[in-house]
Amino acid sequence: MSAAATRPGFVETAVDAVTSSRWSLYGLAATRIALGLTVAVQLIINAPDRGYTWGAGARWGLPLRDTGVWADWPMWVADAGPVLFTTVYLATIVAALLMAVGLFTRWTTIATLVLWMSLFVAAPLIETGGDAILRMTLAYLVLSDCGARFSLDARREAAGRRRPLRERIPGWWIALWNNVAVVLIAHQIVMVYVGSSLWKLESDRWVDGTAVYYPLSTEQFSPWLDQLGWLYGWAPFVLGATWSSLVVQFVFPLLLLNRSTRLVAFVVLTGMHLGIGFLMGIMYFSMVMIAADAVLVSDDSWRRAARAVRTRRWRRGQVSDRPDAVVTPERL
Amino acid sequence: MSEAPSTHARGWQRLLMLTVAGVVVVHSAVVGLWLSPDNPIRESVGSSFLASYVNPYFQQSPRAMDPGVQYADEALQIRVRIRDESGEPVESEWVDLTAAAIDRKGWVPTRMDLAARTIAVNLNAAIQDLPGDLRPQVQEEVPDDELRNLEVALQDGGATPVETARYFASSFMAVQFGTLYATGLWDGTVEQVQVRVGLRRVPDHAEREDVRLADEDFEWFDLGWRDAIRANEAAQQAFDQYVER
Repeated sequence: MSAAATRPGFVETAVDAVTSSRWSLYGLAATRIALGLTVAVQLIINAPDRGYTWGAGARWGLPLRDTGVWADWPMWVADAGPVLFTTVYLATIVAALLMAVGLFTRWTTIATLVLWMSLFVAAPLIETGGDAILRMTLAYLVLSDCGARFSLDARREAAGRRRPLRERIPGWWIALWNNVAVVLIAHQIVMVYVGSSLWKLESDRWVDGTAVYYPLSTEQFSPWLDQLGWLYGWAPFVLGATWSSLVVQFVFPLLLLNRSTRLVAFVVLTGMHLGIGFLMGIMYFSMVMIAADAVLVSDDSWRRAARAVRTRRWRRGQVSDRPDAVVTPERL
Repeated sequence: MSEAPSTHARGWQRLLMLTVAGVVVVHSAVVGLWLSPDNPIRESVGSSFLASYVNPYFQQSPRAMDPGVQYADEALQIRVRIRDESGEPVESEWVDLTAAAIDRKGWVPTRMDLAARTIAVNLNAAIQDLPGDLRPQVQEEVPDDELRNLEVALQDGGATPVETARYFASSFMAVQFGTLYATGLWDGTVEQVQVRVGLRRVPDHAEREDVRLADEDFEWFDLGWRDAIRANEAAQQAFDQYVER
């Protein structure tokens, strides 16, 4: 039999690649933690306003819902009495926090998604730009094995107090859906960035480098206008912020092709989102985007970063064990 | 990558994998087309076809997610005709519902602080979408039992059913929001509400040294008086806390 005859074909290689290992487990864990905290923190901050933001007092927004795309979604949360509504509200916070710490991860991820959606459809008028990404990333996370790292589930499993999922479900099945989730999240992010950059390229203000000046001059997107108004009128800042945002988003898919440029993209975009979140007062949107971007950091990059930190700590005498090849982000 | 319990795919595994891959590719292509600007491929597929798939769960828009498209301040004001304890009707002063939210705004504003401004944004857009010669009609006082006539007049005058529905949904929300707010703010029974939306555009970047947005006046558009839209007791009690805040 020739070598060509025994060499696996494209489909066989692809099937093996997708079903033999779970991709981006550390990235998914970071996404899970960040999204769980984002949901929980939002709800905690808005807790005093819950009755008129998502509860009975939010019914003035129903015409938008009824003429919009969410018309067919059940409104059971807003229709519930104040006690049940508050119970559901608290349950959403608890589910999001449990998801963040990774306890009963798959179930708490599903619970967070369902409960968050129940609140969301009650008041679509006050949705923010990050809600769509949050909604879709949470749904994709349900498919993934996002509790395999940085989670209480993983600790319990390592301590023998929890039966590993792969003993109950075939490993290839878990890997397949985990990797589908990674692909869908990555695709969603890429499309948001590329789509956004293509829209921007159609606008004269983005092309001439002045676009950022306009939202930063409005009351809606400028909580620091009194303090930083001088900066928003400074042409080099406006030009740099406008064009860097446009260029980074446009070349984002190309930056993903190489491991080092992928890391550069993640760092630059994280900085960009933190800047947008702080300067424009839209931190939720920024946190959701950073959380979704985290999927793009490979497990190898997490391990190399962990090893670098461990080596630095060893040199400083903060740890006694010399770093070896099996340093993981869980044990710095 | 993580641990690798390699496996040689069986026939049905390959079939499942290929099916899943096909679904992922189609889903990704549809979402990608939805997010892309107008282009020949998108036109040939058709926006309504794309919308039928992405709505509601995968509904998203680069414009909605991109704060960089905001080029104006928008404001919402209301005034009401209220019957006080003596039974006399009183007309209130204009109250700016967006100003209160600005005073509270920080780098993590509460969700509700978006409400008044979002109503203003939607209502401004809905009014702008109406044919120009029809706009004076929505500035007339219209009691509830004649709203249907207004709807017919708008459509007879050239507004599409979508534009008409968007206008009525936006104005209904504004009136109900105004009713709830005024009921929480003043004693008495709110009988009618008038809504006013404003817009002021950020001065051009080239003029930034000479004029700031704060120096610009709002362009106001007053809708006609509408009958108040009262909510049930539970809704009003919940909303009162917003007014008191």
